[in-house]
Amino acid sequence: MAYAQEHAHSQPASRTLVRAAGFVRRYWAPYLFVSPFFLMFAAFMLYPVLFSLVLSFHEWNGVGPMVWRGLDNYARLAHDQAFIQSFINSAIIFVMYVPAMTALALVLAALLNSAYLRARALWRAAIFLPYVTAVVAVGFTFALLFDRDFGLLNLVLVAVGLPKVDWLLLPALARLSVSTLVTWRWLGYNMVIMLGGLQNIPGELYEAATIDGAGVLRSFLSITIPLMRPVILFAVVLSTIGTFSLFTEPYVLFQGTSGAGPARATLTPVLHLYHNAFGFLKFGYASAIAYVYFGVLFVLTALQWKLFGRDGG
Amino acid sequence: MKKSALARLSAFVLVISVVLAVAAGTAAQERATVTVWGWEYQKKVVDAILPLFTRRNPSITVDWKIMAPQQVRQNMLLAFSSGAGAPDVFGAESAWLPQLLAVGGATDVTERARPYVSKFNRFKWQDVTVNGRIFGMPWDSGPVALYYRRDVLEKAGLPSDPEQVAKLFATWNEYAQLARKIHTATGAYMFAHARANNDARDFEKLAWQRGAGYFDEQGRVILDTRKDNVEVLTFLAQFWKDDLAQDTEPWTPAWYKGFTDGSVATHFGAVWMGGFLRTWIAADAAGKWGVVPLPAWAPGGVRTSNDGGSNLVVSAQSKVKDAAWALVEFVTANREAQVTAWRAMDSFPSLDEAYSSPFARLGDPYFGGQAYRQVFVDLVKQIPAWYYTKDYPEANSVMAQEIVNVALGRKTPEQAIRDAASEIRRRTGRP
Repeated sequence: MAYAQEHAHSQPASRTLVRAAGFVRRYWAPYLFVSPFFLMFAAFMLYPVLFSLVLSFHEWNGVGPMVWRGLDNYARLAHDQAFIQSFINSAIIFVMYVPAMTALALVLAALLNSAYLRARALWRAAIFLPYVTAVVAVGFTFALLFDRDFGLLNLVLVAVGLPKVDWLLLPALARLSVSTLVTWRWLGYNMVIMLGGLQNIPGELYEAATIDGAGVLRSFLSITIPLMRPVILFAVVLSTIGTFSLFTEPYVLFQGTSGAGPARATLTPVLHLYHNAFGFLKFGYASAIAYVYFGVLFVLTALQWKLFGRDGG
Repeated sequence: MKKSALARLSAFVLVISVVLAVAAGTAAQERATVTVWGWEYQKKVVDAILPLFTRRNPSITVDWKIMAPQQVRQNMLLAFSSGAGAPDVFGAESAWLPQLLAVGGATDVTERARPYVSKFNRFKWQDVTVNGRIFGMPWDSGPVALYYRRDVLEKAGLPSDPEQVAKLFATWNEYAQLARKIHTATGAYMFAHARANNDARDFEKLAWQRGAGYFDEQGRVILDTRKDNVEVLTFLAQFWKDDLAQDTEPWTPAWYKGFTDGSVATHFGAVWMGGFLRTWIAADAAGKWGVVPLPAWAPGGVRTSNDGGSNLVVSAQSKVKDAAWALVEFVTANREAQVTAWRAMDSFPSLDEAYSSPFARLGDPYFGGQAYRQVFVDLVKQIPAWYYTKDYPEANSVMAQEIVNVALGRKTPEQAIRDAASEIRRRTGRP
């Protein structure tokens, strides 16, 4: 009985082992060839991710010993006004620009996808150009555009008889300025995603619709949008993540406050993380911010997928 | 015979080669390259005195890497946490140096610096000292005085001669009363003070003047326990309330414009602002600015403060500490070097004996012929003590946000100070 049990147990185990050895012997070469990626991934992604999880339960200034703090960092986050404010800011900025930018990207993509357009490549390049322009230079340019006393925007306003506006000085307008910069910079990127989606829609559908007497607008609403839904969702999810992790745009517009903006109006979770880690040397606390931020975004993305994904509709 | 001649020859060769080897060895030991991280201005200062240094230390080469102050701080932190990659010497702003010292980034130079302790501005040592040990040398100081527009005061029917203006603005009280008069007569704001993008630096200057601020010598939070801080913020807030302060963010075109076109009447700023105004912020306003001591909080009180200033530090990772110290010592503590840098780059010495240089008494045409540097020389000894601590960056960012709350009318100065103090205590764990 005992023997039988042992035998029954060891037989498949040893068989698995043999099979595994055979697998290794047969396939070691391809795995060796793809291993650089996994090694790099482990060293530069997996390790930091796990390390920062450990870190989030510690207090650490980056050099000295790590001091165990348990859930203390997480508990303190609940009372961190700036942290809460950073999520509210991101939510407001999201509403300010994501719907408009996504719609604009889709419409532009549809126009650029049309067969009748001349110099199509030129247009596409022009709209994509902001995305590949050095963002720090762009930041300075926008800061000048928005400047209260010398900005082009206010010059135009004054020229048509309107009063000057404090684009970068009032909290609400500061968010609008960031939204404008983000839209300008990311519109082309979103358009390319949309364009990719559009090119997967078979032309016959539009032909059939035209034969049935549908106009351009009708086919856009009844064919393009429904078929583009997964692509739109993908773009919106990317924009959501992008908005909550905004860093460079507010940072270059509001250098004096390291991106926090007037009355912390443009502080995002990632900026807050950055301030705590590299400004105040609180790497443990910053890691806790990172994990809570990840959790919130994970839930948000899952929610979007659930509500607007293929199954949800 | 033959044998002994050979032996003698070989002995001779041996002696010669030993002598050569020893000579080569010492030469190699003396020849050192000192790597330095600092910002462009600092390099220009050192470049100005490098010929003097090289004459004394021909075997030491200085190799610069220029980066912005915050980059120096950031890269030093990276170098310390990874245990390698730091330069031999780095320039550090007093505002964030204690943070770097707290993580052990600097070499203890207490014994080497001791002979100099009595020769520098007293208040500067605080920024390079941890638990009684010295980790760097004071380089330049930022005594604060009141810059004022001669033309604006004249337009308001007030005297514009420094001697009279110093009496006119004897106290902050008198300063505040004249603000209304000047605004009505000329339309000029009394000073520039950003509302929504406030960086708390003006608050800190005036709190420093009173020996108040965030922390005391033991590192306790004194923001709310020292009444001075509330009084300073209340004083500043009054100018917003009365619309007598210009709402421009420091270091932006609008702020610069105020210094050029006379839309601000005064500025309480550090000595380096004089060089900035003359060379790039308001080069067109030559002859229009004057400098007087800060108004006092009470008659006969302290009439200065400090803003900015930097230090030169031997990094903990340096392998050529003797050569590194030689450079640091020469740049900061040699009178000739300090005076040369002062003349060439307007780098205001922390070294007391440099102040006797005739350069201090030189009239400057930009300031209407006034010997404005002498004003700062006379003030620098009065600068009260101030304790940055390693938590200054965080305290400053908390306070800046609370000042914005006051500026936007969301909180009273008392509330803002109270909230800032408890926030700083909560975040730093200090009593």
